[in-house]
Amino acid sequence: MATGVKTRVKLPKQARAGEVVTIKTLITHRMESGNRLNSNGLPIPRSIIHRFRCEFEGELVIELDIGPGISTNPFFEFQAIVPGPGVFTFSWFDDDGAIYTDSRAISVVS
Amino acid sequence: MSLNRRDALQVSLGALLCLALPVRAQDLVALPNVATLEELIASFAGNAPTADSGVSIDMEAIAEDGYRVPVTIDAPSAEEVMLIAPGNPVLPVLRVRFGVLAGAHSISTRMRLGQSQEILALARLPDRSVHRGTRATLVVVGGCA
Repeated sequence: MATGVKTRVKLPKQARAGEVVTIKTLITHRMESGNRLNSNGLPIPRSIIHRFRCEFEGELVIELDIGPGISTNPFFEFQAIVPGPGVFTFSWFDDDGAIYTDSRAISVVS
Repeated sequence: MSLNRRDALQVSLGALLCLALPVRAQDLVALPNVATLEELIASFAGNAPTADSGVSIDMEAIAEDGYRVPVTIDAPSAEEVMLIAPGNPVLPVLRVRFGVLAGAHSISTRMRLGQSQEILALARLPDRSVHRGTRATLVVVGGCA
């Protein structure tokens, strides 16, 4: 599954220093569980996003190990502390070895 | 820059390790596909006793569509959380590690449920104590084949 993968991230463009912001992420992915059979009765091989990581300027916000029990187009919502201006980076790790990344800058208002 | 035998050996050994790593790394970080409930709890909790508090699972009591069931796990001050669906073909659904910049220690996602079951969430605190929360849900249309 290397075609048509799209990542979406939603978070505020600015925050106060030390504020906690909500981040919503989504990636378009089939999340083929590996438990289904095709029309010939043969198992369809597993192909999922098995890991997700969010960092802010090299500091870890959250890391997820993901199983086939997460729905198609994995969606995650979590909270992050914004210590100052900087960039959030997001990485999704595919079973096929691909790594999809996205990033968002956030500025700080007083 | 001069390259002696020792440097050359170190570089080539390092390169070989890098070649071997991606497969290993994936095995190590990914959740196990085959594991019983007891094995999962033991691997997460170790010998620590589990307390029936400190973790809440927010989820509809009746899930119309088992392919996407919204769920929120809230585990204040936990450093690691594991979500398990004992009635699914693959039990471990999600393992969460909260970093230093995590705000509220909660996560929302959408999960698959194969049948009506009681979802289990385990949370490990920095003091190594383990807390558990459960939530029963009725699934109208199963989401795992």
